[in-house]
Amino acid sequence: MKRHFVSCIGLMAACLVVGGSLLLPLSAQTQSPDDAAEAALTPRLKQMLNVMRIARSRHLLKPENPEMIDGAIRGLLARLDPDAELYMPADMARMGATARARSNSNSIGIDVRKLAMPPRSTGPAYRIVGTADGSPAARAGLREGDLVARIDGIPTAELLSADLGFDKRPRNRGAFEFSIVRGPSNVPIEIVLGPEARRSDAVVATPLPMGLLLLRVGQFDAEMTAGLKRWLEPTQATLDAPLRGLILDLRDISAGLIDQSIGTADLFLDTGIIVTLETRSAAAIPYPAKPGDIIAGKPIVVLINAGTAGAAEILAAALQDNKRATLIGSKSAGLGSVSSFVSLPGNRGAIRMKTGRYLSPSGRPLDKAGIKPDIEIKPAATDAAAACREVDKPADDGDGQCERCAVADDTVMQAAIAYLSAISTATKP
Amino acid sequence: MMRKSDYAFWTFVTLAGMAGLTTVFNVSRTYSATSPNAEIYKQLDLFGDVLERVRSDYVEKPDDATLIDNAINGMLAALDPHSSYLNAKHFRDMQIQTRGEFGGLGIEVTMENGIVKVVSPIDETPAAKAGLQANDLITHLDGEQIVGLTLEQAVEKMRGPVNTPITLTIARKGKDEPIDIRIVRDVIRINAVKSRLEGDVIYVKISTFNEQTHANLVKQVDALKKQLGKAPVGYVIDLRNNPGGLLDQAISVSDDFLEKGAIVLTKGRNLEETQRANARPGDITDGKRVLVLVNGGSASASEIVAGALQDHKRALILGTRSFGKGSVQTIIPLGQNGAIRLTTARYYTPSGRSIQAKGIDPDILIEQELPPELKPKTPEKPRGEASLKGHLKGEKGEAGKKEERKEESGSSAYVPKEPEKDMQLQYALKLLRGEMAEPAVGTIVRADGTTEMRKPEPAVAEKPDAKPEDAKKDTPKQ
Repeated sequence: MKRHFVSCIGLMAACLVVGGSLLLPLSAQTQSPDDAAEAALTPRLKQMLNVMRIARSRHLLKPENPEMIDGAIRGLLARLDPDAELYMPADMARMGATARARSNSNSIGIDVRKLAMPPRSTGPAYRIVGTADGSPAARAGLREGDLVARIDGIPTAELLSADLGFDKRPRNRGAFEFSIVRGPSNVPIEIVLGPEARRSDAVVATPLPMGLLLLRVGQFDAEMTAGLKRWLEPTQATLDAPLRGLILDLRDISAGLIDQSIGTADLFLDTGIIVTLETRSAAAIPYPAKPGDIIAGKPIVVLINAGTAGAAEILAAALQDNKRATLIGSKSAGLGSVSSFVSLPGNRGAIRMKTGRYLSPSGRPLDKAGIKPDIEIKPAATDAAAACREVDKPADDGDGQCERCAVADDTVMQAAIAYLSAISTATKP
Repeated sequence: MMRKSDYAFWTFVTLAGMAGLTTVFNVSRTYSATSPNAEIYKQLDLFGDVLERVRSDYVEKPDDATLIDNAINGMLAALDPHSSYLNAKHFRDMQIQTRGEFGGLGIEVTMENGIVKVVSPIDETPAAKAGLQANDLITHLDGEQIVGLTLEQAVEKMRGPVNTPITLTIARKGKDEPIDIRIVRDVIRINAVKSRLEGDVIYVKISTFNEQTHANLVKQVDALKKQLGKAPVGYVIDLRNNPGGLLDQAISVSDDFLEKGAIVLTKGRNLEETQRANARPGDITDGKRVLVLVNGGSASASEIVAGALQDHKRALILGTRSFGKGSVQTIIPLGQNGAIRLTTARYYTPSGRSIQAKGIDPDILIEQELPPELKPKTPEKPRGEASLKGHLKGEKGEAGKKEERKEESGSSAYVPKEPEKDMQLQYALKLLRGEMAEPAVGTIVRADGTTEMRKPEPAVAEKPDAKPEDAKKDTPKQ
């Protein structure tokens, strides 16, 4: 009550200046609820309110409140985390439609993350973190580190990540026109990619001499763990000697399902923690390994590089921290967080932001830092102008497409073979 | 605040009084309608919800003050490219810039391998008097290592209140032992004006419009006139790559060359932002010929000066099209919480042109020859106001003048370091010295030295001048 009294006195003085006692009762009545509302604000929100009022009364363009609040929310999120986004109710509706049109069997095989950008920037907003083996994107040589400037002519700065829908476009939507920026060159590379049916060979097993087995994981899809199990048995029989070691090639693999990395890690782990999910709103969730090792403790080498991201990093870290595998290659991408939609009350949309992060068995956060290999071998061609991914090479027929590099030409692979041959010879009875 | 035009002092006081009244009337009227504040609170509520969610669910515990800083900045950045939030530190930095002076040592520094390197001590400053030399490496400040600090943080530590001491530890080539130098901070002025004699021509480069600019200009021109001992043949005022600054300084600098007439008109939503500045008698050049150099990096206050002198035909404008920022920002302090920089007005040149997203077209367009490493691989347009996302749209000029010009982005901002290679400057000097025939307004001088005439704009297409054959001649006659 004291507050109201004071504000009435203040108002009376103001009204006397304009010379109308008539205005007093009106002002006094409507002033109180606003006063109360303002009093309830935290000092920080009061600061916001103050700036809004000044801008409303003085900015040249007579800004409206919703426009300013929208800008405030975007400003808050953008600096917090490049992946954070605001979805207004209209965006949510559009996303629902995209999801309904989703066709999981078609994809161009590309995985992207948003870049930290200054406000109003019109530059590339997304960075490719990986492409799926044999996908249209990988064949065209798109790879980790490429920046996506435009899609179908639209600057990516204007696209919400949910709008990209790389994996969500039905077959009949046709091809994407990509404008890519690579390395220091500012000349964009224009590439047209048509979605194709996803390849079913998530895992390819190749027998190598001396009882070694190479498993290339092309994508962490729902079939992966089962496929791996299915392959191991028959392929072991084709080896020239009893299985002496396994090479798990996880280079240039990004998008994928976390339950598949957990499932695959569990195949080779008898005991221990695979990964722990940490959030601020709930207790940390550890994922322990179940007993049993499908290859009975035979040595494993995991190959990683800067294109090893997300689900693949969880698998690599689980095997490294449990001392089940030796990691060879170069540092991984460092993408070990969970982003989720947190809806706002009253159907006012949602925000998408990082809400959790994965910790390796020894408690290292997998986000940002990346995993260091036990034995570092820089890729042979670090040339930014190279036409293909590290694990690929230009196809011999010279049509500009990329294909998998042969084992013999793959220096990192050769290092892994040498390493496994050495330890299996050393441990021979 | 930032407008100190005493020309319009009385008008201003009267208008301010009226503005105050109008505000009071508005207040009572809005309160009697259904409260729009209810809507503000609803909107704030949405923001509050987002803030709460981020606080509780974001993967790392965020810092509250940073969140709000970013939010306020986002709110203002959404309005136009030149509105922004200055937190307390940025506000202090900006005040230093506009005031043009600060407490410090007087050295230009860069950072090399995590260590601060002296580029040069500034004459007559404590650093110069204490014997600091170019290429000295500063390793410690008051005994604390610099490694680990950013250049900005190191500079911040070297600045401080006048008359306070600081000890620098220096590694100097040829000396094995580190040297400790104690320096007492003094007032350091950022010199916005650099000038010299180019033969009989007085050349003045204005790099920014801070509180010292007009005074520096007058002082230096005076000194050069005395040094020359006779009347100069003319003046070159170099505004290239001058990003602007204080409006009142732009007005004073324009006034230095004008005897009478309007300099600039600002027009905002409120009367206090709507003003007209007029020139007072007096011309520091005694009516001598003035040439002004502009390029794609000349913005805002620079464009006010160039526009005023161009409209009054007081100066010929040479160079390439200017940036095109035709808006005025007001700095509104928020007490302890820094300040906001808000776009509050557009400005118009004396003839009523708005240069927003168009820029000042030079009377004589002179292109610089770019060194090979700067030549774009693909023809990419240099950036200007028109290329900024969300820029204010250009609008028709004042007083019903027809302006059909399209928005155009900026021009090159390259200026060669060596004056001999600076084609724009050399052209200006030749012209002032009478070493070449007078070019017609609208002449274009290409980087390879060939000239042509600007194509007439559609609005004035009926003028049948500038035949293409004539345009090829070296110096078209008038």
